[in-house]
Amino acid sequence: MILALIFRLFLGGLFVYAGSIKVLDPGGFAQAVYNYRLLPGWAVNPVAIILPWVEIVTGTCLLLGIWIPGASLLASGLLSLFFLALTSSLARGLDIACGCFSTSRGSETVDIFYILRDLLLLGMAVWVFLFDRAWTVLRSGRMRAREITSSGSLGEK
Amino acid sequence: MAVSSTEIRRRLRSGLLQAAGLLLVGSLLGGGINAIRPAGLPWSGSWNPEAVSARHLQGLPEISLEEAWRLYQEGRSLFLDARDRASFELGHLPGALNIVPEEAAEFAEEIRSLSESGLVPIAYCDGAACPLSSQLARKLQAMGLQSVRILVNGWGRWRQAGFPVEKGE
Repeated sequence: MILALIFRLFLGGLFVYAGSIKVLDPGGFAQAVYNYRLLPGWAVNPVAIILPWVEIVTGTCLLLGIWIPGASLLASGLLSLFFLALTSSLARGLDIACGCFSTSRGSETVDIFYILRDLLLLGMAVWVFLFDRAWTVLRSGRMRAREITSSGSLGEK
Repeated sequence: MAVSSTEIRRRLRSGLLQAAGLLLVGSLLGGGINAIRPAGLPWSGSWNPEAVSARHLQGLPEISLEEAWRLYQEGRSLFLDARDRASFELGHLPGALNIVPEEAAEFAEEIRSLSESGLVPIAYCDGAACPLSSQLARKLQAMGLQSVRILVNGWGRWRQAGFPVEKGE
């Protein structure tokens, strides 16, 4: 349980961080998206506009414990997509930047390390989805509250 | 620790709904903020190879294939191959130096003295949208080498024209 909490906060912070960096440099991120050569030209800018904010929203929810099933599911989905993109770029022998935590084209070139890191994060996200209790606790708490109110109203009758 | 399968199913059901909601919130936020920020992107960017190539080239002198070929025949071409080592070894333009953009500084002096002796540095990479030759040329420009020119999609066009290439080191 404590592990799920740690993973959730870690992933949340990481997603907010990764999204913020991309928001700061939309043009650079669009270039990074384009470099993967996976999307048709018309889809590059919409993805560059929306994806960073989806990351920030997802990360914020994970950090604050809001909608954890949805946020962890979405994080898993995104990390799975990133896995496919990274793997295919490696398989095609592209010499491109990851565009994961930076939008500039430094010396960082996608290699097996990026894929392993992505898988590790994916494992964490799935773990949070399966084992994070905050949501269940919240829900059962609400149910208990409802029981109390309903029994209270019964008592009045 | 074990989570029952009914619980997982329940989480999946509400999780999918919530995820869709989060996607929507993220899209609205992204679209909204992009609309009001000064550095906002247009929704439909031009990402066809020609437009990308033009963006890379901005402000850099281009060289036509014919002129590059002429310079080569006159023995005055100094080809700079900006691609990775493996691609270079598989084949490159005759006499080319393999310089990825990160290595520009190490070769700046050599290129300078060669161009002073009359050679014309010509940077190239593979594909019209390839950014490497422009990156290399920009770095060399910043080091005072203004004479570097770009042969757009150099590797592809040189080969297509049936001009001679070299292999190995």
